[in-house]
Amino acid sequence: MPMNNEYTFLNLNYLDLILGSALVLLACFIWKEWKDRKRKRFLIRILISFITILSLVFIALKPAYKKEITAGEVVILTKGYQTDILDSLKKKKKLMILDYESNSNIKHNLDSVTSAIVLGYGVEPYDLWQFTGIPTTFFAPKKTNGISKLNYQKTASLGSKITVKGEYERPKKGNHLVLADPGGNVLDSIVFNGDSIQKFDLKSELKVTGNLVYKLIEKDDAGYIQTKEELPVTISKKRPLRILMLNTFPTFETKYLKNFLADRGHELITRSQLTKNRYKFEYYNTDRSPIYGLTENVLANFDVLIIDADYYMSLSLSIKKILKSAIEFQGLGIFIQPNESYFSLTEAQSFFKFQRDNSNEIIIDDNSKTILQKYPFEFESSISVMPIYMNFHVKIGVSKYIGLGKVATTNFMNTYQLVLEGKQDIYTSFWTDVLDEVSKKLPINATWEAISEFPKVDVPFDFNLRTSIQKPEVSNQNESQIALLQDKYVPSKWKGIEYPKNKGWNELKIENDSMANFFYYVFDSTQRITLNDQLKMNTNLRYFESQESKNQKGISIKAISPIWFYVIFILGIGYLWLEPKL
Amino acid sequence: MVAGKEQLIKFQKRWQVLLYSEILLYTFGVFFFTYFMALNIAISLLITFLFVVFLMFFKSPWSRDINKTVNYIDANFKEASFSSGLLLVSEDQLSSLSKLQKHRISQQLQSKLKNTLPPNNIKTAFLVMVLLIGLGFIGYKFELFEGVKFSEEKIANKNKINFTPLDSIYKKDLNKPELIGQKINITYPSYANVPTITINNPNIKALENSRISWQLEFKGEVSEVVLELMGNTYLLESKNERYYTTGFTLEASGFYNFRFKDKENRAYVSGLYSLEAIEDEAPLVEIIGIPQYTYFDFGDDKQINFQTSIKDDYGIADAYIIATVSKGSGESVKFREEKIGFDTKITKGAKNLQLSKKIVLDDLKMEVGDELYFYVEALDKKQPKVNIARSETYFAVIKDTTTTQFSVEGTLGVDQMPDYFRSQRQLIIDTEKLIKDKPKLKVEDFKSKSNELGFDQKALRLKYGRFMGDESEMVIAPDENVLEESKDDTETHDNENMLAGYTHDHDGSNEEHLVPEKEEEKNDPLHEYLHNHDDPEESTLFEESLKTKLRKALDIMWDAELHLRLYEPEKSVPYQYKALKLIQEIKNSARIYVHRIGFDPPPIKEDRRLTGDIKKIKDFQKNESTTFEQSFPFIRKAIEKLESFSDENTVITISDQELFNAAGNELAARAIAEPGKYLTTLQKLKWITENTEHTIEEYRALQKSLLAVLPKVGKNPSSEGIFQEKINSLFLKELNAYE
Repeated sequence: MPMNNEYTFLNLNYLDLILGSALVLLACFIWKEWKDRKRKRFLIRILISFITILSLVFIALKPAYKKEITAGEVVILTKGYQTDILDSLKKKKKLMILDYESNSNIKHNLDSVTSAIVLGYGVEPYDLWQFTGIPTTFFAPKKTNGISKLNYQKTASLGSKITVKGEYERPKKGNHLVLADPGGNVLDSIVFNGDSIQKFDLKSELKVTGNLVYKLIEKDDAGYIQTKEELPVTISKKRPLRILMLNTFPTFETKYLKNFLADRGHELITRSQLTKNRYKFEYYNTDRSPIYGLTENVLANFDVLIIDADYYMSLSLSIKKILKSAIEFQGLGIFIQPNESYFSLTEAQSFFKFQRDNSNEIIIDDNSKTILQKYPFEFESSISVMPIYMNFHVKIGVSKYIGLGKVATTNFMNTYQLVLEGKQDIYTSFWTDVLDEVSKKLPINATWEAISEFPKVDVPFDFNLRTSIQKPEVSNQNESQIALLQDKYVPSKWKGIEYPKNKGWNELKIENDSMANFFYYVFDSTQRITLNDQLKMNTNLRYFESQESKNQKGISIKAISPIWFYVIFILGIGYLWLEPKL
Repeated sequence: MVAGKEQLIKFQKRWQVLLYSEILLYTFGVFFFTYFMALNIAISLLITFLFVVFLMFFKSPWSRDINKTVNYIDANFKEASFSSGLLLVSEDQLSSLSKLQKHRISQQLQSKLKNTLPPNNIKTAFLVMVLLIGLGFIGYKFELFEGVKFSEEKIANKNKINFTPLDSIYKKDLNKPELIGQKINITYPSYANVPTITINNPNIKALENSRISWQLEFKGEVSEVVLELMGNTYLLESKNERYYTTGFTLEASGFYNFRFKDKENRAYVSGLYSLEAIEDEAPLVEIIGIPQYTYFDFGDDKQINFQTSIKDDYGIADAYIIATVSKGSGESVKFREEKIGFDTKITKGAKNLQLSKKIVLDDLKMEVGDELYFYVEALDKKQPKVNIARSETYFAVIKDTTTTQFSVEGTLGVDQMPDYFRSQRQLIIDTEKLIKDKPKLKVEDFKSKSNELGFDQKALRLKYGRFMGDESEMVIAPDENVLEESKDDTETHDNENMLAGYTHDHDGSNEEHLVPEKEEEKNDPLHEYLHNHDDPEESTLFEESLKTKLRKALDIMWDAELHLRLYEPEKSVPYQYKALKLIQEIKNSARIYVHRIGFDPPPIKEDRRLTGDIKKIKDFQKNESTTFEQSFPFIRKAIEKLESFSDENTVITISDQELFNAAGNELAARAIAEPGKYLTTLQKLKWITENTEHTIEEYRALQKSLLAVLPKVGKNPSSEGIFQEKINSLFLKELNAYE
C-alpha cells in the first residue's frame, strides 16, 4: 500500500479513477484556455485550474493523517455497574467516564481511546459493533435477584400441560411464585424457602386454544403482587389421527387402546384375525372399508400403524418392503406391540437391539407408585434409537427414524391394567406420548424461529424462516414487507429482522400462505428484567472474549476536514468565472 | 290601668314566641342535616323529634310566666325601678304611693317594652340552622355521608333493577326513562300456608309452583317492556302508562332480565337476575323409642310403644303405619299387610309432629314365630303431586323357641339330624334335675343316674362323631350294668328306651356278631353322603371351621361325660352348656349354604368337530362413530376472543356478540343447577353481548370466571406438521446408512 509515514488517503482504492477524471478535467480546462495561450494570464489561469481540480481530487480522495492518541481509557457504565470497581479504577489512572444509553452513538468516543472498560451488564447487542477494533475489558457484575432461568413450551397443543421451570435467585423467604391463567386464576404455586437459588417447576393443563398469555406472579406473604412475568403461549388444536391396528388375535391391550382412541375422536380401523382368512373389522369414526392386504395406497391413508409382533413377523418379505417404503417415503409411523418372542429377533427384523434385564416390573410414577408389568428386556442405545418419554421423564419405549417415518415399540406389557386400576391419566399420557412420537408428520411449508428471546418494542427482533417457497415474501401485520437474507449454504433458510411497533402479540406472515403465520409476543420493559440482563451480559462476555484484541498502537488515522478543499475549490472556480468578466 | 299589665303580658307572650321560634329554627336545621345525612325521612324525623323534646325541656318556653317576666323587667330596666310587679296588682289593692309609682312606670315602660325584645338567641339559632342545612347539603353533594347511610337504604339501592341503554352514548342522558319503583310479589302455592311476600331483591328464591309477579314503575315514557326468561319473552302489561306488571308460575330455576324501549325507540336492558325454584322437600320421618329389632318370647307382654317424629318444610298432610305380618317359613310364608293409624291425632298442615303408637301384637293375630315389619309413611301437602316419605323398617319378632332345637339341615338336602337320641338340652335339664334332687337321693342312685347321664352324653358325642367321620366301630361301648340299671330308670324313660333300643341291639351283638354290625354300618342311610374315610380328619362333610367347631364340641362333651362318670354333675353342667352353645352355632352356620352351579356347555356335534369347515363363518364388521366434542366450545372460543381484546378501543363485532351469546347459553345450561354461583359471570357475559363499551379489567374479569368454569381437557395424541428440510432428510439417510 503506497502510504507515506505521515499522510494517507482514505479513498485510495479509487485513486486511478479519480486521477483519470482529474486529468480529463484539467485537459478540458487547458483546451478552453488554449486560445489565450499567448497571454500572460493563460499561465495564471492554468495554475488556478490545476489548484481547483486538485482540491476536487482531495475532496474525493479524503486525505488523512496519523495521530498519536493522547487520551487513555474510557469506562462505559451500563446498567448495574459496580461502584467499587469504578472507584478502584478511578484511583489508578485518569479515566474518561461515559454513561451508556442504548441505541446511542459512542463510536467517536471510542475512536479516541486506546482501550475501553465496560462495567455493568453490558451494552445492548445491537450496539456492540461500535466496539470493533477497540480492546475492551468487560467486568460482569455478580448476579442479582429475580428469575434468572425460565423455560417453558411456547407452543403447545390443547390438553397438554404448560410446564414452567426455572430458577429464582435470592428469593425472599415466604414469598409465593404463582402460575396463573390469562384471567388470573391461580393454577399452581410454590413458596420460597429462602435458599439462595430456588428452583421451580409449575404445571397446569392448557384448556383453551389461541394466543394466550399465562402469568408468573410473585406475591409477598400478604398476597400483594410483587412482579408479574408474562408467559405467552400459542396453543393449537391438533388434527385427529388416522390409525390402523392389525392383530393376529383380539387382545385386551388392543381393546382398551381402541376404546381410548375412538373416544378421543381418532379415525381408527382395527382388524384382528378370528380364524384362517376370517377377520374382525372395527371402524371408528370412519367409513367401512375392509383392509385385507397392505398396499402402498392403503398405507398412505394412515398416520400410524399399530401392529402386533406376531403379525409383523408373519408378513411376507414383499409386504414388509411396501411397509418400509411407506415409512421411509410417506412418513408412516409404525408401532409394534411386542410379545416375548419379539425380543429375541435380530435387529434387522425387529429394528431394535435388546438386552435382557430380568426385571419384570417397572415403576412408572414416583408419586403414586404405579407399577406396570414389563418384558424382561431393555433397549440397547444407539445413535438412531431415541427413547420415548412419558411426561418428559419416564422412559416408556424407543423410536427410530426410517426415512421420514418412525418405528417404535415398548417393553411395557398390559398397559390396560392402568385403566382397570383407575389410572386413566397415566394411560392417557402413555399412549399420547407414544403416538405423538410415532405419528406421521404432515409436511408444512414453513417454520419460524425467533432468535431474539425477548422481543421489545422498537428493538430489532431477529428471526429465522425455513421454507420450501422459492422466494418467500414476509410481511408484518401492518403489511410492510420485511427483507430476508438467504443462508449461504442452506437455501431454504432465511433470516430477517423486524422492529415491532406494538406490545403484545405481533404477527409475521408469508404472502400467499395464510397457514404459515407466525405469532410472537412483544414484552414491555417491566418484563424479563433479570433474564434480559443476563442475556445481555452473556452476549457481551462472548463478544468481548472473541474479539481479537488488536494491539492498538495509540495511533489513529484522522481525516483532514474537506471544508478546506471546498473553500479552495470555491475560490478557484470563482476566480476562473469572475476574472474574464472584469 | 290595664295598659301596663297588658304590656307585661304582651312582653311575656313575645318572649315565649321567640323561644318557640328559636326551637323551630334549631329543629329545621337538625331535620335537614339528618335528612341529608341519612336520606331517609323516617329516621331524620325521629332524630329531630328526640332533639325537639330535649330542646323543649332545655329551653322550656312555658316556664316564662308573668312572674319571670316581672323579675326580668325589674332586673333589666331601670325604668321599672323594681316595681313592675305593681302593674299586675289591681288598683284597689294598692296604696296611693304605689298607685303613683305604678302609673309612673306604666308610662315609662310602655314605650320601653314596645321597643325592646325579650332576651333571645334567635340570631344564633338562625345561624345554626343555616349552618346545619349548608353542611348537610355540602355533605350530600360531595357524598361525605356515604358511610353513615342506613343499611336499609343501601340494600334498596343494591337491589334496584339496573337499566342501561344499549347504545352507551345515551348513558348520561338525563331524560332517559327511569325506574322509580319495583315490587316483586311471591305468592306461595296455597298449601304452603305462607302469606304473599313482597320483596325488592330481583334475585328471587321461591318455592316451586309459586306465582311470581313483578311490578315496575317508570318515570318517563316507555314501551315494549318485556321480561326475558331463558329464551322466553313475557310482555309486561301497562297500567296508567306508569306501572308495568307481569307474572307467572315458577316451575324451574333460571335467569331473567327486563328490556324496554323509550319514546325514541332506544332499547334499554337490565342486568341478569336469578330465579331459583326451591323444591318442596319430602317429610323427614323418624321412629324413636324402640330398637330396630324387637324380640318377644311367647310369654311376654307383646307390645311395642314408639314415638314418631315427622318434620316437613311446608306442612304434613297425613301419616300412618304400614305393618306387614309374616307367618310361616320357607316356601309357605304368608304376608298380611295392614295400614294402621296413630294413637295421636294428626294435625294437618303441622310442620313438626310427634306421634305415638302402641302396637299390640296379639291384636294383629300374631302367633309364635310370626314376624312383624312396619314403617311409617308420611305425606306432605305438596300439589299437584304429594311428596311421600317413609321411615326405616322396624321389626318385631315373637320367638319360636321350638325351632332352636338342633338340626343340621339344608346342606345336603337331607335332614341329617337323627332325632332318636337325647339332645344336649335334654341332658342339661336332666343333669340340673339330678343336682337338685341330690339330697333326696341315695348315694348309689345318684351315682347310677350320673353314670347314666354320662352314658347318654357319650351316645350323643358318638352320634355327632359320626358327622365328623369318626370310627363307628368304637361307638357306645356296651356297659351291661348301666344298661341294666337304665332299664329300671324311669326318669328318663322315653329317651333312654329309644336310645337303648337303638344302641343296645347292636351293642349287645357287637362282640359276638361283628360282621352284621358292619353290615348295619353299610346300611347306614347317611353312608353315601359321608366321606367316611378311615381318618376322621379327612371328612369333608363340613367346611373347615365347622369341623373344628364340631371337634371342639366333641372334646367338651368328653369333659362333660367325664365329670358325669365321676359323679360330679355340677362340674359337668358348664361343659354341657358350652357344648350346647357350640352345637347351636354349628347349626346356624350349617344353614347358610349356597348350591354351586357349574357351566353346562351345549353339546358338541361330533360330526362337525375338527373338520376345519369355516364356510359359514364370516368376517365380523363393526362400525361406530363417537363424536368427540370439546365441552363448552363457545366458552373456549370466547376466552380466546377476550384475550385478543387488548384495550378499551376494541370493537365488539356482531359475530363476537353472537359468540358471547352462545357462550352465555352454554354457561346458563350449567348454571341452572346453581344459579347463584354463575350469576355474576352470566351477567358480565350478558353485558358484553348487549353493550359495546367496556374496560380491559372487565374483559379480564370475565375471562377469569370463564376459565374457572372450564373443566380439564385431557391429553390427546395428535400429529404436528413438520417442515421437511432437505438437509435433515439427507442427514437421516446418512445416519441409516452408517447404522
